[in-house]
Amino acid sequence: MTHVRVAVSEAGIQQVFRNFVENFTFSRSDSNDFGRIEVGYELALRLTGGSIDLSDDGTVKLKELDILWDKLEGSIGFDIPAVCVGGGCVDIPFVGPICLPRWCIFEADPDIAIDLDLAPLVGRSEISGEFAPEVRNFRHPQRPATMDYIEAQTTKDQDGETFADKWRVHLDPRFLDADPIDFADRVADLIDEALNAFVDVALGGLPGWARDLIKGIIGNISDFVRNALDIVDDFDEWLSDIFNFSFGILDLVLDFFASKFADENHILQFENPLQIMEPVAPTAEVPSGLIPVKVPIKDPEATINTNEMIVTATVGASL
Amino acid sequence: MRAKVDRATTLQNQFDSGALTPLCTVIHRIQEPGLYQGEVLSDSRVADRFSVQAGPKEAGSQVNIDLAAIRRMQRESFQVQAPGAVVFFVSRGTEGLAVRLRRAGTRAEDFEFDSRELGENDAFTTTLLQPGTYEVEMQGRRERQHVQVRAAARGEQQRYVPPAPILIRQPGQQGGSISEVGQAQTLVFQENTGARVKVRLTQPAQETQVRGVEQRAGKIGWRKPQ
Repeated sequence: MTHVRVAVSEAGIQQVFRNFVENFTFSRSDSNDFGRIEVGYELALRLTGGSIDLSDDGTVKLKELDILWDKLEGSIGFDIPAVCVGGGCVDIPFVGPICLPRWCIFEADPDIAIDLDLAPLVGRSEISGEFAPEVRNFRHPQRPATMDYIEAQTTKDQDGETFADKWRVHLDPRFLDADPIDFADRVADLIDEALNAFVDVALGGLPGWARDLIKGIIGNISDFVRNALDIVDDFDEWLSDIFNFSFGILDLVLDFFASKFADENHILQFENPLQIMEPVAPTAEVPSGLIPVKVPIKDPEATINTNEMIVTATVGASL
Repeated sequence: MRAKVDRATTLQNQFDSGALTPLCTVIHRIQEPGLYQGEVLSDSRVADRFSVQAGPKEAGSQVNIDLAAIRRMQRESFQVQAPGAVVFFVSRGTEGLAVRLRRAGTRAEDFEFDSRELGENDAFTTTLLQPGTYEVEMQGRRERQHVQVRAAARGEQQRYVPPAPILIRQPGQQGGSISEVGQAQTLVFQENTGARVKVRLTQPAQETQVRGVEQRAGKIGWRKPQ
């Protein structure tokens, strides 16, 4: 038999969600060496928009939550392939088949570092998902083991939170989806421009015929680099794959979002035991006063319908 | 961003089998198995020594020997099958090096190979980068040969692949004629018995962008030819 029944409206849950979104920030930086390519990033993002709908299937639906990239800077270090002449094989009479050595134009394997401001070039990325209510027992981590429940309910931490045990209702993510990071074609153009500038600088000071020859051997620098480094896709798709799969940036974001939302936010909470009558100070009629009346709360459950979240519980026999 | 072009190699326009620099090789075919003693010469003086063991089955049919690496004392013994080919080259530097080889146990002056006097089992190769006309001199002979290197036609997106190495016959067969070859194509000179082969640029090709008059930004302009 249900003894306690508490309800939170959809508007109340939406307010909790809005507060969470407004205060959500995520930042990260990392780099990785992919053989002859090193890619690094530094990002900071916020969230905006999004809607919360209570569903009669007992879940809360999250829709159209946008990622706002405050900062998304990438750095790409390429080990530019060697540009060489000579080589080839030839069958020489009286000598036999010979494969000739090659000479490479650059004195050492040149490398190039390209810094890209990717934030304006990343497509819109939305998060959607589904949550289910979950009631969790909360014990204050700073509560001393020797503190009894009466003292715990009157002692507060630095944030004003009592040390009392509590039932908390969380929205626990069932799943979260995000659109993969999709960079505009312009990323490939920027990398092309940087590679071409690199070649022009490297060949500066050489006579025209030498520049033309080396540029001719290189051909399209973008293709040259991609072929040498086994980058099958265009640079924008390749970079999107690096960010989406190798770094798994959105996985990190969603994981952070899920744990923060589920663990650090609760829709409501109530102390256990729950005080149902205030203490009464000593009076002439009752010289000793009255202690507060507290009842233990057991078996709390939370359900969702299209209008509200309802939490029910029973009153236990003893504390 | 860093990249340093090897200018000395790129801008070379003189090549000499008796003074090897980058972009050229001399090749000698060793017929008989055995130990061979080699000498690297700089200004006709013996600068370094090395050895080639011809005959081991595990050796390749060709061994490339970088004279510049021997100068840096990085390696001094090599192996090749017999018969097999030894390809001498210089990976870096401007010091012209000659090389010679004799069988161990023979007289000190009894060299079976000398890059300054190529024999019938030898060849000289060079890769010509700069467009223009080159003169090929077989030192010790009267004949001169000319080779014209044509500039590669280059489109912005089209990659230039130098043609495969080409065999250039001795002047007796093509004496005085001009062979036209592609830019960065490797020329193989063979049948140079007793000769030291020298190749040098005598007439650079005009730069294609050097034009007296050109149209730019809707105006007629003039640029001083370079």
